[in-house]
Amino acid sequence: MNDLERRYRRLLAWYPRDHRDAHEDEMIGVLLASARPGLSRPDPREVIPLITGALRLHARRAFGRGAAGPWRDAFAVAGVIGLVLVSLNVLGSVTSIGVRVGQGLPIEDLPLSGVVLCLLLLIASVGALAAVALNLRWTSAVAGWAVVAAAATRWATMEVPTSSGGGGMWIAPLSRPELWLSLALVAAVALTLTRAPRRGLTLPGTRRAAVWASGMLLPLVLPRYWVFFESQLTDLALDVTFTAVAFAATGLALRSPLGRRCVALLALPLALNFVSNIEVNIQAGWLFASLSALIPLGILARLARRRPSDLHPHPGGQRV
Amino acid sequence: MQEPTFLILTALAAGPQHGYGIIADVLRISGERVRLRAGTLYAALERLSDEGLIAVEGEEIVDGRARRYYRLTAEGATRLSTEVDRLRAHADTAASRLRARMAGGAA
Repeated sequence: MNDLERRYRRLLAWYPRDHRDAHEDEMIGVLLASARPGLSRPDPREVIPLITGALRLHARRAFGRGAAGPWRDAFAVAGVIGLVLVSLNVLGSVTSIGVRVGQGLPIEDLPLSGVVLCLLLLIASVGALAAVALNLRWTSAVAGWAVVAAAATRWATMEVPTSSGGGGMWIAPLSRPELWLSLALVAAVALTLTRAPRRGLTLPGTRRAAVWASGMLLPLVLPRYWVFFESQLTDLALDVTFTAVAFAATGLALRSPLGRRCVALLALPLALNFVSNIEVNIQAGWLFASLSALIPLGILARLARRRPSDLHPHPGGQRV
Repeated sequence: MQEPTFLILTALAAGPQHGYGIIADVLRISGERVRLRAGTLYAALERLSDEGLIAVEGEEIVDGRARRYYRLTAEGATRLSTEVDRLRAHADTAASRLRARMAGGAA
C-alpha cells in the first residue's frame, strides 16, 4: 500500500462502516485510477466530494428510507433515560428533605407547595416508568406529560432556589429547573411517539445506552445525594470529575448508532449540563425547554416526509 | 433529475459498467464538461441503487481489489426515458421559440 492509497483510505474512514465494507476497495481503485502519476497526496478536487459524499451517506442513514425504526427505538430509550433521570433527581430532593427534617434542620426556605409538587413529580415519573415497564403506551405518555406539568408548575412557583445549612451541602430540589423541564419534555414527547415503550427497556444494548446517557447527565443527579457524602474533594475537583464522566459517557454513546440518536434527542439537556454554571433566567429557561422538545419533534417531522410504508415499525435486527 | 444523475443513467443505458468506466463515459458523453469525482459518484450510486434505478450486475477482482459492475434496471430505464421526453419537450419548445424570434428579427 503506497502513501496515496493510505491517505485515501484515511479519508474513506469518514464513510459509514457498511458502505466501507461494501465499496472501500472499489472506491480506492477508482481514486487511484483517476490520480495523476507520481501523486502522493490526495487530489484536493477529490477530497471535498469524498467528505461531502460521506456526510450525505451518514445523513441518508440517519433520516432516509428505513431510518424510522431505529429512531423509534431511540425515542423509546431516550424516554426511559429522561424519566429515570428525572425520577432520580426528584427522589434525591425528596430524600434530602426527609433527611433534613429527620435531623431537625429548618426547611423554611422550601414552601409546603414545593414539597407537595416534588412528591407529585416523583409519583408521576415513577408511575410513567411503571407504565413503560408494563408496555402501556398511552398511560406512559399521559404520565410523562404529568411529569412535565408538575416540573413546569414547580418551576413557575419556585421562590428560593438554594440555601446552605448544617449537616452537609444543601441543594434545593429542582435547582436548574429549566434543565429538568427540558428533560421531562423530551421524555414526554419521546413516550408519546413510541408505540411500544417497553422497547426502551428491553432493546438489546439498552442497559449499555442507559449507562452512557446516565453518565452524561450524572453531574446533575449526584448533587441531589450530596447531603449523604462526607467528601474531602473540592468543588473544582468535583466539577472536573463529573464533567469528565459526562464527556466520557457521551463519547461512548456516540460510538453506537442508537447512542448517537439518543444523544441527538437529548442534545439540549446535555448541552445545558455541560454549561451547568451558566446563569439562565426564567424566560431563557422556557426557551431552552421548548427547544429541547422541538428537536425530537423536528426529527419526527423529517421522518414523516418519508413514504408511509417507511414509518411502520421495523421487524428488528437493527444494529444498535 | 440532476445532471450527474441523468448522465450516470445514460452511461449505464449502454450496458453495465464499473465505477471508473462510468466516470470516463460521463466525461465523454458530456463533452468533457462533467468530471464526476469518486465521492460524488458513489453517493449517487448508493442513492440510485436504493431507489431501484440501478443494480449491481457482478463483481470481479482486479489488482487484488473488488470491482463492481452496475446496470440500469427496468425502472431506471423508464425513469431515464421519462426524463429524456421531458428534456426533449423543453428543448423543442426552446428551439421553436428561438426560430420564431429569429424569423421575427429577420423580418
